[in-house]
Amino acid sequence: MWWIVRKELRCLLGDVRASVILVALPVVFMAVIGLATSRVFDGASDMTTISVVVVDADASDLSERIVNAVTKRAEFAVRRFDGLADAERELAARGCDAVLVIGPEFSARVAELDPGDVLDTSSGPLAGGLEALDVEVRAQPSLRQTGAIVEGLAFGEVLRECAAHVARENRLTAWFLRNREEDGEVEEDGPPASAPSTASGPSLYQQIVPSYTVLFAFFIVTSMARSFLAERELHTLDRIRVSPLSVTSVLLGKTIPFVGISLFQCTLLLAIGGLLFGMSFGSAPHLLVPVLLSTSFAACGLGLLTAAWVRTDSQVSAYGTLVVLTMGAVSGCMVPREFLPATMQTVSLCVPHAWALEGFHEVLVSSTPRADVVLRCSLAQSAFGIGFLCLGFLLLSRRWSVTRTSGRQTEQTTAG
Amino acid sequence: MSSVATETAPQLVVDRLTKLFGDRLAVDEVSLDIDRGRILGLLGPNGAGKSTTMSMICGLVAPDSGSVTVGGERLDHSGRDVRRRIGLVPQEIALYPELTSRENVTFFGGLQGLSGRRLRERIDFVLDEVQLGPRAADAVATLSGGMKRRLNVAVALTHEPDLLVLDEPTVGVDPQSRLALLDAVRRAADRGAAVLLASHQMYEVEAVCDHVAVMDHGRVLRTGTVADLLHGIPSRAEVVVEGAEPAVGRSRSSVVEVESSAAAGKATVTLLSQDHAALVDELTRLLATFSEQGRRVLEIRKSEPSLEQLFFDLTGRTLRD
Repeated sequence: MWWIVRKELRCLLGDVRASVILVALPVVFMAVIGLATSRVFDGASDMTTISVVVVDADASDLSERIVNAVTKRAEFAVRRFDGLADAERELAARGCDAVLVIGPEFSARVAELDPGDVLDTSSGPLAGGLEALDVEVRAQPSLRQTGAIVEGLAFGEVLRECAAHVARENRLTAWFLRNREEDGEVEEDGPPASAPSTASGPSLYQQIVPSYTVLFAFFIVTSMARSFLAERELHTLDRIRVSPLSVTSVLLGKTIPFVGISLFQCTLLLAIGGLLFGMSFGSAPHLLVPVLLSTSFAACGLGLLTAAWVRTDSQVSAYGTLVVLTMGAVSGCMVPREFLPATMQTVSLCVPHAWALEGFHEVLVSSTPRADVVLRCSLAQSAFGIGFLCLGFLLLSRRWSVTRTSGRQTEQTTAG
Repeated sequence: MSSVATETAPQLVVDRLTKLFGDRLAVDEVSLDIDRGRILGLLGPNGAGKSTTMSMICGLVAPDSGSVTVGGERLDHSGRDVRRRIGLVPQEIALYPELTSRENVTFFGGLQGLSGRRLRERIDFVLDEVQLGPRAADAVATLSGGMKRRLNVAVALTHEPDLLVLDEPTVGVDPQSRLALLDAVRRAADRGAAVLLASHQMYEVEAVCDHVAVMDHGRVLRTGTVADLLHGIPSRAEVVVEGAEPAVGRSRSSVVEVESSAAAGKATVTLLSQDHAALVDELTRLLATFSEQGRRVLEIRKSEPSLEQLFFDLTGRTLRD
């Protein structure tokens, strides 16, 4: 088996095309995508803030508090307009992404709320969302998702301010709040426990480097499939099959080098991400090891399965690339996973890439990476890898087997 | 079962091998055996079943029935030791073009269980055997077609197989390379290997093989030594003369057959005989007759019994693919 491992490594290391695909191309991609999308994704960039125009037609203390709360949010760059018409013109001229309109009936509708309505927003008056309080968000037609984000965040701020307001207006809750203040349990000026972080999100390359590392790690599928295909086309497979090696040894011998190459590729890409693009390795970089190992294992498992499936180089190019790119797109390798719809985020867990990304995200982005999350992601990937390997092994060993005593022989290539 | 008689037990015994591809019977109860140190030439037109038979002998294709025994051990799916006894030279050049000659031999020798000093000795030996020692460090991709063919054979010789199976090993090589290849095969047999050589080159089979088997339609039609096979095939002489079909009458010799035909203003008289002297006498008489008649002789063709003649007699002259 180790003769095959050595031979594969010798052939792979001499294959310039494979090296370009596996290492050079992802680095170029990271750099290009980083430059091209930095204004969209980079947390430090102005483009990550949503430009919001606020029109306060209610002009009450409560509505003023709402405007102030929204203004403080890091996600928003807020400007105040006096008239709705001016705000609509600004929106039409694409001078802003969204308009938040606090209607003239806002404080009156809030006054009608009782604490129960605030506590239960699913069935009470607040089930209607912002509209129930005469608050409206209008967004650019092409920025519906942005509008939804503004609406969601604004609803949170409105709810927080209204809850406090309603609680103070209600006798029972007012008494309770007074007692708490006397006991010193509440810090008036301190940030609420549930206040969202105003820190900027993960840096651009914290997302791009692992995403493209995972995407290109799976491109080893095409190299692996081509390697098996080459053995068939060169007829060296016949010589190998005539040797005393078992099918298991042959398959292991051909797979192990690719796992090594994949590990090297992923490690190198992360290192380049750190050195070249300033990506941080997080507070627990050792947790990268299981993620890297399981990613390479899953990628090579898929490689073996693809090798068992394809018959021609065209099929490798078509199926291999299609499968890898589709899986990458579905899982969120090409855009941050947070940008995917919730359904897609769930569906994407059907591919190993998604688990790899979750694992990398936990290690590289989370301030306190959880080993159990990383382990879960790694185990899920390993399960994919084992499944792919077993299926590929079954298909190939069945095709190479000489135990059958009847039927067609699919591996037969020549006839005298 | 055809017998290739020797005093020792055959190194290869193929017993009623049969293979179906779908409804097509590719190999039909083929039986062969080869003794140690002997070369069996396998002849047959394209599609005759030669390669399928060889694939089954090497364990690459599972037979539907029948058995293969190499060195007394039956070949089956778990027969790793049996496979170690076999050296295969596929019809195609089965080498890694990016690796050097030495690396190719090393790799396949390693797969066969050789290592260390023994492997190095064998590598040097087989590269010298096919006269590729000076090109050992060159990538296969840079070698000529003939060199690749020689290396293709060298790889199969590395582990000193008891059975060497060669599927048309000299396709596309120049006469010098062919000679070197066949010499290497002959020497392998001299060292004790049983050799199965499939070829379309009748003269090289005649030159190197001890025994010959002719296959067609999946069956072995004839087998034996070259002399055995050629025995009974008549020598042939053809005389082409101008004009209508001559009245040549019966041969004076009872051992010479005479046939005649005419077409397009030319007539052909064919003489067939296993008695060479009688055939020459009859030919001399015929030419004298034509001379007396004043008929101009356009062409005289004469052929001795050959494997090619036998091949055509057994398999016909119709194109197969």
